[in-house]
Amino acid sequence: MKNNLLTGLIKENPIFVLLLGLCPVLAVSTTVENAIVMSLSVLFVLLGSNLMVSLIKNLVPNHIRLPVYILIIATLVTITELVLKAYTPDLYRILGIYIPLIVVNCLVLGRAVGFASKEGVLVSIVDAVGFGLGFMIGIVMLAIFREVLGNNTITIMDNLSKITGYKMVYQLIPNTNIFPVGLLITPAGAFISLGLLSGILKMIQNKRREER
Amino acid sequence: MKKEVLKGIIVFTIIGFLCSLLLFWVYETTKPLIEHINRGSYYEK
Repeated sequence: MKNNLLTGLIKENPIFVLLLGLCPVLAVSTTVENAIVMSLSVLFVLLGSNLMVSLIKNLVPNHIRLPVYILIIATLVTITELVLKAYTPDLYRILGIYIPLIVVNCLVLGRAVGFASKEGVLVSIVDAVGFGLGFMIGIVMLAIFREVLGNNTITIMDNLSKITGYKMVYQLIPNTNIFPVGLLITPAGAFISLGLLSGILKMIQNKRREER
Repeated sequence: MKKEVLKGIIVFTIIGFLCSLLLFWVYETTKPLIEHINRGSYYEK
């Protein structure tokens, strides 16, 4: 069970190791707030789909497995979309098309077909939590890197402040002319940042392996 | 073969129906809030 959790979190991190579901990751990681809401949406869909798929795995005939799984995932994504639209319309507008696109996220469908359809309910839930948190760690790390270096701020609650009542936008280094590096906020900057972070993590992993 | 196809259709229909019920409930719950936003009152705060 612990192994299942750690697999998604570190060993097979969906963003830095498996490179799955990169479309929203690259597009939405301009602020930490967007990254957190996006990853929470993915976590909810992943958790719901893994739970439902593992519950009905023996009832679904093999030849209609995929349509049924997509039906379940699409339902969960539409629920997420409606809830975001109702409670945080500003964020819903910013995240835009990337919320409905969770339906075709390889990570969600991959875990449903590759894991939940073969394993028990509890293990599937643990797997979903592991991969969901792994996705969250990846996208938030990327967002911190891009926002801090590209905009010299960290936005934890800006659009969400209408619900929570707190506004949390911090400027990191006041009166500096080193930051911001505007390139990192652009789509090209997203690819560069992802490559850099991926490379750094791989280097750390290799160093640890050599030490052992 | 025919039996398998029939089973597939029945399972897909039942799961589709349950999913639509769930969606309908969420839609009805969030409808007042979404209408409130569409009227523009949310942004007047």
